Amino acid sequence: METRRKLEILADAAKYDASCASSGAKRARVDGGLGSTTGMGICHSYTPDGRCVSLLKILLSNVCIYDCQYCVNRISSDVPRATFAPDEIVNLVLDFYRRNYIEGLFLSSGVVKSPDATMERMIEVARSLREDHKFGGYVHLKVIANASRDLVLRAGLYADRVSANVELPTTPDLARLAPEKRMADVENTMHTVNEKSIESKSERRSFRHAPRFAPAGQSTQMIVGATPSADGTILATSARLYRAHGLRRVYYSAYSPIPFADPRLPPRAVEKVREHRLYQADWLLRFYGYSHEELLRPDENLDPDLDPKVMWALSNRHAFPVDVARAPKELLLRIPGIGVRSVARILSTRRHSRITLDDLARLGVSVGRAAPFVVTADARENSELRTLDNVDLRARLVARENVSARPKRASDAQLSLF
Amino acid sequence: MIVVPIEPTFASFRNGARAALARNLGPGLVKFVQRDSAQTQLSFVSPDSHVLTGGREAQAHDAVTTSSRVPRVSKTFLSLGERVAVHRDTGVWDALYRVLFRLTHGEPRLLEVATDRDVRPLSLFDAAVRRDVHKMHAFVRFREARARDGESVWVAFYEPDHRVADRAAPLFVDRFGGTRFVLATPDVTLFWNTIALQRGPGSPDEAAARAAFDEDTRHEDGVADLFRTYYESIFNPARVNPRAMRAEMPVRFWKHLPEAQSVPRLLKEATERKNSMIEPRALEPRAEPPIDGDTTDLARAALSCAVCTHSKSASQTVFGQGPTDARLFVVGEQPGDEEDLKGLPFVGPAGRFFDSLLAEAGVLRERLYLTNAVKHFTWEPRGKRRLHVRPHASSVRACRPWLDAELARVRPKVILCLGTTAAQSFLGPGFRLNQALGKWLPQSWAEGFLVSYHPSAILRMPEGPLRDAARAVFINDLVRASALAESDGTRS
Repeated sequence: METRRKLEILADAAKYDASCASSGAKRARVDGGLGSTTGMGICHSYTPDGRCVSLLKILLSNVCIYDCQYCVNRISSDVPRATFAPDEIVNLVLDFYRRNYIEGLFLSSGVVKSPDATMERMIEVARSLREDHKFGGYVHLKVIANASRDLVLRAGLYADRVSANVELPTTPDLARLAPEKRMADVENTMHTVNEKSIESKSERRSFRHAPRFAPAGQSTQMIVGATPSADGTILATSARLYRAHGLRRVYYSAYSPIPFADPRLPPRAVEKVREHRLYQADWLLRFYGYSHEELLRPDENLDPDLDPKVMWALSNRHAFPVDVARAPKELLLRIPGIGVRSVARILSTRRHSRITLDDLARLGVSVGRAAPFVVTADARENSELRTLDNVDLRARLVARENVSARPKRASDAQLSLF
Repeated sequence: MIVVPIEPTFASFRNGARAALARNLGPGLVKFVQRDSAQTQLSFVSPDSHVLTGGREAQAHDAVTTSSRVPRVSKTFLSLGERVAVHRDTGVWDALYRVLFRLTHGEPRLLEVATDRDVRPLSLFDAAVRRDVHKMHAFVRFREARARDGESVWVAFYEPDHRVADRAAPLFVDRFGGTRFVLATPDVTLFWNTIALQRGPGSPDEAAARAAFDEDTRHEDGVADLFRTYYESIFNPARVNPRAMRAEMPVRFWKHLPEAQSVPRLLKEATERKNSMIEPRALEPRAEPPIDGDTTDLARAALSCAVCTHSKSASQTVFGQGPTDARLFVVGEQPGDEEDLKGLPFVGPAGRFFDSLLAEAGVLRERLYLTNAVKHFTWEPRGKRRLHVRPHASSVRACRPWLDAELARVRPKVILCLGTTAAQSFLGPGFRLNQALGKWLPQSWAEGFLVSYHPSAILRMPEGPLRDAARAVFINDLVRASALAESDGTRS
């Protein structure tokens, strides 16, 4: 089969993985080599669905001996199959990288003969890039479920980031749809990666040339809405993974129907807004000091109409209003419409100057959302502040959200037409 | 009004500003004018305005008379100035001077006040430049060519919004420094010879930038095409969002990007592709059982069900049968010829064989709930006979809600699936019997879930040890399923 046709099949098959990041690790170009990694991540293009193209994201093969029901590549699925030879991938990466099309490679695969045999071939691609071609660009390797520990450790020596997908949020969910996968195995892999990565960092403090191990850490992905697990359960799993295995990111992928799907799967796509709210809540866990228990009980879902931060504020109105001139950083971070960067600007500005509602807008705050919850130097002008205890505050905020989020709504409406 | 003519560089602005500060000129009294546009600018300045010559003269002046008063400013301001100086808005210089004047006149920490009316424009200029550098890192595209010396060189032409080529270049040196490259922009052309970066005059356009080089156009177009193939394959037509795309990848940059030419076509095709992807599933008919009532009510409602395609050719719906409190729930494939005529499950040849196996296993048929994955007989005419045909997967899916409704009423302790079709109804089309035979399968419908042969499969096997073995397996499965169903404990 011609490379172009393989690329079509194996890029299409890889698009169900949500991760696209090329950030988190710095790697300088070695002498006589090609490429570097800045730590920032660069999107070299955007597809018409608004997604960033940063890496060559492909499968090594979409042949698979497993039968995970949510997966388009499962053994029982009737899709065209293809398999790359390792050097085909290496050449594609080098050709694209030299022309500045990509930041590097994100390689995953179906399970070809056995998890280990597949992992070996993926590692060979990464090894050849790093050793034969002194490639300094970004490499993200997916760890195949149930691959042996030795191979996971080798993958981390070549890759900037490795990831083992949990795929579904709970053990019973997995038992139902992915009989070959077990949460404990996935977490074992994560544990290995985390341990080795901590070890490598401490070694490098003593020996500058000690080998690096997955310097951009590890991530994972969960499919949302393929099983009945609620957002509260999903966030609890994320929180556990972040804490226990030092994950950098959990990616959420709203389930969308795949061709010839299993009858146990929902026939319709899960609304994109659910994925969006989960990402917002995930951000609150990582950067805003929220705990998942504060946001949701295990059987609760996020409010599709409101940002989870607004949702929390509405059910914790006793904590508001917050005075921007005095409140500590932790409280500023809880004001709806104010992000981490705005908080930093407020903290720096308030030492020298009073802050009005208009000033907040200049600092990048979404004033419409923040106004009911915030005391500024011109509090008397802030008529919204009086609405904090109103019963209809939620409805007003939802209405405002709908106005400001019109483009997103429009595209949602377009989807529901079909 | 005093006009300070400067080159559009921060160094030149510093000289001019130093001269203005030395004369203690407030921001309202000075106007910085870029020399490349000074001619036109000057005519707008009132005739009584003075032109302040900065540069060497001002420096000399400072050195002699006012050096002790030359103010010092923070590094933060100097690096901010360097950054915003490449912004094309000619208002940058006056904005810088306004802040500089206040920094040196009693407000040394002004830059920390992000809300300040003079600081904010600089922050916006700074953000725009940072974004432009980032976009240049992203959207520059190299093509391999040959220079006059016959050696390889990688060539790119790019039009940034601001004069950011020098700021963006270090990343390319870091990445591609092992080879030679040319980065041409309308402002400046940068040439990296693997040792040092040389600056030359800018190129007006792509053609001019590439004119000096020889290119294997077919090969380069081929690689660009391959990338376009990649780009087209990763796009998900179900999630079209051109607005988000244009926000991140403004149309003015598209001319640099080989893949962007695919965008209009992809958007046009998106609707069709999306339909072919989702429609068959979304619109597939499914049975809609009533929410209330017991199994008798279900059976009555099912009589009028005509959701699956072959319901018309069957005589009647053959619904499940058995006590509502049955602990063992047995699922077959579909009714056969006799069942179709009588309207009862498991009464044909296979049903009679099943009865004999039940007797052998010591299991009472009266205690079982018996049903099928598909409740209409699927057949083909073969002579005078109606030949059994395996039901289509779409019929299995269409009928599945009935099975769910029966399960919800009976709530059995154990489910025993007879054959692949029954198991696939639960576990999906990927289910294969030989992997699962005799194993308690993990699932969430009942405490125990077992898949065995379909009795008719055993009937069809030729007499001999294979058939005897299958029969023994089946009886053993019946015994195990029944034992767990009747026990009060849980499966160990």
